[in-house]
Order: sequence, then structure tokens, then C-alpha cells
Amino acid sequence: MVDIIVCVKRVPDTSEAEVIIKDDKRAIKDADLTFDINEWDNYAIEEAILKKEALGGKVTVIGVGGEEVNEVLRRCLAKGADEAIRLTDPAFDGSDGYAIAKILSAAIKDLQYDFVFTGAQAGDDSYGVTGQMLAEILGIPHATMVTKVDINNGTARIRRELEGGLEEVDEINKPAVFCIQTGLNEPRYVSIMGIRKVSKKEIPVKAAADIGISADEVGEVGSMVKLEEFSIPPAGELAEMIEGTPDEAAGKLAAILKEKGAF
Amino acid sequence: MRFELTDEQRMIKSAAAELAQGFEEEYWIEKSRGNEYPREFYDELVKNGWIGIAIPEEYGGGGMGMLEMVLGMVEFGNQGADVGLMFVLTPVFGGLSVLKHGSEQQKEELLPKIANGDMRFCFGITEPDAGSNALKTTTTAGKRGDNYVINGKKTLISGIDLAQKMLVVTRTMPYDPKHKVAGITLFLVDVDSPGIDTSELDVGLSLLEKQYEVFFDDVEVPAENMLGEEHRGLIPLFDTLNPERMTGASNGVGFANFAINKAVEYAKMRQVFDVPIGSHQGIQFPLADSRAKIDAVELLLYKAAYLYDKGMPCGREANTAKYLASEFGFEAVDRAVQTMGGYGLTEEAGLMRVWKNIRLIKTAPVTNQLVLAYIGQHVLGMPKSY
Repeated sequence: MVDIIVCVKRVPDTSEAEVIIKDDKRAIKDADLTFDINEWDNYAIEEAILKKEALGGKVTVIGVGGEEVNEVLRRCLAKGADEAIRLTDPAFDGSDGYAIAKILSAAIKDLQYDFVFTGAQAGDDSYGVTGQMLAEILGIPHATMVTKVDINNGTARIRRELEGGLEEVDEINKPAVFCIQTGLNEPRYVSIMGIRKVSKKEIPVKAAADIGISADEVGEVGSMVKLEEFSIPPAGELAEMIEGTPDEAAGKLAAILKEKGAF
Repeated sequence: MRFELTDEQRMIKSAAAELAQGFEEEYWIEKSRGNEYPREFYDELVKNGWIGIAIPEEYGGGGMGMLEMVLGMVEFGNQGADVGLMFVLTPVFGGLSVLKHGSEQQKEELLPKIANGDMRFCFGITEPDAGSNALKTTTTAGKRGDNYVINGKKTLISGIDLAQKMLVVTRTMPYDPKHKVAGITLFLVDVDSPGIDTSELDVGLSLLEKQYEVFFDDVEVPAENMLGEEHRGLIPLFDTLNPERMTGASNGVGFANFAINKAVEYAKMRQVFDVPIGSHQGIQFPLADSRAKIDAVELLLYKAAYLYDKGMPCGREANTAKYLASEFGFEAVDRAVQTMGGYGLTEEAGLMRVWKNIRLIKTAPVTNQLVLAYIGQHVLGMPKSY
């Protein structure tokens, strides 16, 4: 049996969309963007469900944000998570990764769990810090960039992805936080049967007071990082258009690549 | 009047989009090019409950309705996935026909197998001299002991190679001009029954589902495989027409959305004479016109499905949605092709396979002329025109 908590985030899909920065420069215009579960979290939830299916136990999924987050949480329930909790409070607005870690830890500390899975990073702000900070605050070990998880009698044997194609294998006792890298499984699709099961399921909501965290610990005031502004990098400064016939252009390109040490 | 989708319906759309996005566009182009069935995609449809979406939960289905099926189908089409015949053959001709007109025994035997993918259907209606006019069916079913014996020939039968069962339209009484509607009987026939022979048709407009001629030579069918009542097969037959039209319309709307989105993306990016081609009215307005038309059709389609699920008359809406989805859809895809210039005609641009399919919807499952005849006669109350 293994009880796993998975922290998920709702993010905009900006892979093919045109990103427009709002006038105050501190956010992007998201009205025309589609939102979905963070890609890394999608692998994390799949891994947790696979472990539950193999070993028994329970998967609880937690998200921070307004009602719109329910859609992401329901998706996880439809795939096979057992419970979902949404953490929401006006005081949470403007939280950085550290403040989010504090919010998550406040909710998680009272729950029964063996392991906590987070995505290795989020596709929107790409900080990649929440999981590690969460583990620190909970006072438990963690592993980042996790590409394989085997759990046996409360001990996890995990593989981590390092620089330069190197891999590391660790044994970590429960409880621990694993920051899951993409590609370690094949996330299942949401099925009609799953949708049927969860569409009317109420998702409990907890505010700052319910998890015992004060307003000055979260939001902008409780954050370490203050977002100043977004900007789109100036285009073209480093770009060089190679002119000429295909033969000439290929020759010039090869010369440049050689000069830069690509070969 | 409520236009917002429920949480469940929103999940259906996002689940369909996600499944479709799991298959790259190249997958569909290759299947289309190689004339190969997209089995991997179909298997995912089955596995994730899409084929049994409208079958009640007690028979192993998703327990949802036509509206949910249609919402999913449109979303699949929006992403470029070609699901038209996948839904019309097994879920509609198989699932809905058995659900509405099958005996309890037939429902218990067939519906769970339809939902879990073990049983696929094809539909044996069209004959060389009888298609839209089912009354002219010449394939006969005569009684012999406890069985019926089917003899005759069907043509343009989609996907018999993929199916285990065929819903076959037969005559059990000679055509009588005084009782025109009597004498048609439907049977659920195993496609591997002795006496059934098939021959693949060479069609210019190749589809994912191959087309066949099917010959019945003394094919024995147990009487309990009759669907509905003897001689009164037009009732179950006509009952499938509205859902069938809705699936056609869904395919058209989805593919039109797909084509418009592709064309808009291209027109914003493609620079000719130093400006994006989309800045010219000649490019922009046809796409805007198509956007407006398809938005309107999509709403009508959802209304048709909503009415069907409520058990209310929906022939007007279903027929109109099918008509406009195919006409405006074809126009939209054609405009998208034109927007892309010569590139639009390449397989790589992804529109040619869609163009073929949307052309089909003007003709099948019913011709647009007969849809107009329906609207003229049954909506406007004008004299029968054919």
C-alpha cells in the first residue's frame, strides 16, 4: 500500500500561441489561451496512479487557485486519483514558488502520506523550485528530475537525470518528495467512464485559515521573488540571414558551424 | 435557454482534444496516403469509452447522450482526427439501433460487446437500385423453419472488413404500391455467415473505411436476429436517420474548424509582397464568412442533439445541420485550400484528406438534395417533390 499526494498546477498552453504582455508588464494576456494541467504534473499523476494500481493505496491531488483549477483536478480524478483538494484564498494571489510551497506544506502536513510527487517544473514560469522547497519545509528528503520510481515496502528506488546524459540511482525512505521529469511513463487519456465517475464529485476547498497559514506568509508579501516585468526578447540581434543559392547558403552555414565548434 | 456547457461536457471536449492530439497530423496523412485503417486511434477510442458513449451504463457504456457524442466528435474533427464513419457505423447503426429497437436479449448480448470494442458494425442498406429509396430494396429474406434466408446484393458498404455484424435491410414481402411502407425487415447478421461474399470496390475518393459489394447467397439467419418487427423495419431504420445526420454534421463542423484554423494561421504568417496575405480582404473575408457560417451550424447541431436526447422531434434541426455543415464546410475547406495557394494542394498541408471527406458528406449518408426535399415537404409543408 502506498499513499501518494500529487501537487498539480493549471498552466496556459503557450507552445503555439502568440504571447502578449499586459500593460502593467506583470502578466500575459490569457483570455485567448487554452489552459491545461502542467505537462510535468501530468506525468506525476500518471506515475502516482500506476503505483497505486500496482501496490494499492490512495492518490490525493492538490491544486492551488480559483474554481478554474477544478477542471484540472477533475481530470486527475477521472484518470484514477481518489481525492482532490483545492486550496484557494485571495491572500494566495501573487505567490512565488516559495509561498506556494508554504501553502502546499500547510495543507499536506495534516494528511496521511508516504510520498509527494510534483512536476519537476511548471511550463509557465519554469522556476522548478516548488517541490524542493516543499520538501524542506516539511522536513523530508527529496529528489529532483526523477525518471523512474520503484517503491518497495516504504522505500523508493529512484533514478535521476543528470547533466551530460548521466543518471543516478538513489534509495530514499518514505516520506519523501519526488519532482517528476517528463517521459517516465505514458500518461493515459481521460476516459468517458472516468468523466462519468467524477463529473458531479464535489472538490473540497480549503482557505488560508483552514490550513493554518496566515496572510503575511503567502502572496506577494510572503514571497522571496518579486516579479518586476515580463518582456519579449528583442528579435534579430543575434540572427544572421544567410543569402545565396541553396548550395552557397549551405556552404556558408557549414563554415559558421565549423567556426563555432559544432563539428 | 442555456448555452454554457456543464463540467462534464467541458471534460468531454478536453478529453477528445487530448486524445486527438496524441496522434500527430503525420499519422493521419500517412494513413490516408497508404489507404490504411487508423487502428491505433480506433483502439484508443474503444479503450477510453468513446464507442460506447451513448450506451447506458447497465450495458457497459458511458451512459451519456447524443449531445455528448456530438461534442466529442466535433472536437475530434477540430483536431483533424477523422472519426465520421467510426461513430456512424458502430455507435449509431449498431449501438443506437439495438438500444432503441432491440429485444432485451439482443441488448444484453450486443451492447456490452459494442461498448468494449469486441463487436463492430457495418450497415447493409444500399443496393445498385435502392439507396435513398429503401422501399425499392430487392434483397429478400424468406422464412425457412425457425430461420430466415437472405438473398441479394448490397453495394457501397463501408467497412465490412472491420465488422463482425451487419445491420441488413431486407424485403420480407413483395413491394405493394398500396402498402408502400410495409414489408421491410432488418436483421443483425454475422458477417462471417456462410453464403456472404464480398468484393472490394475501387472508389476514386478513397476513405479510411474501404467500400465493398456484398453478396448474399442463401444466408441463414435465426429469427431472433431480427431487429424490430417483421415487415415493419422502416421504423427502426428511420429512427437512426437523425443521429446519422448529426454524426455527418459533426464531422463537417469539426473539419471546417480544422481547415479554417489552419488557413488563418497560414494567412497570418505567409508574407507575399511584404505583408501577410491575411491582411488582404480577398483572403480574410472568405475565411471570416466561413467562420460565421460554421459557428451558426455548430449551434444548430447542438440543438438537434439536445432535442434528440430529450426525446423531442429533431428532424428539422438534424437535417438542416447536416445540410449546412456539408455545404458550408466544403466551402470552408475549399477556401482554406485556396488560401494556401499551391501548398494547399499538397498532402503535407493536411487539407486534401479533409477535402475528400467533407465532399463525401454532401452525398452520404444522405444526399443534400434529399435533405432539401425533407425540409420542403416536412418543414415547409409543400408537396412531395420526388
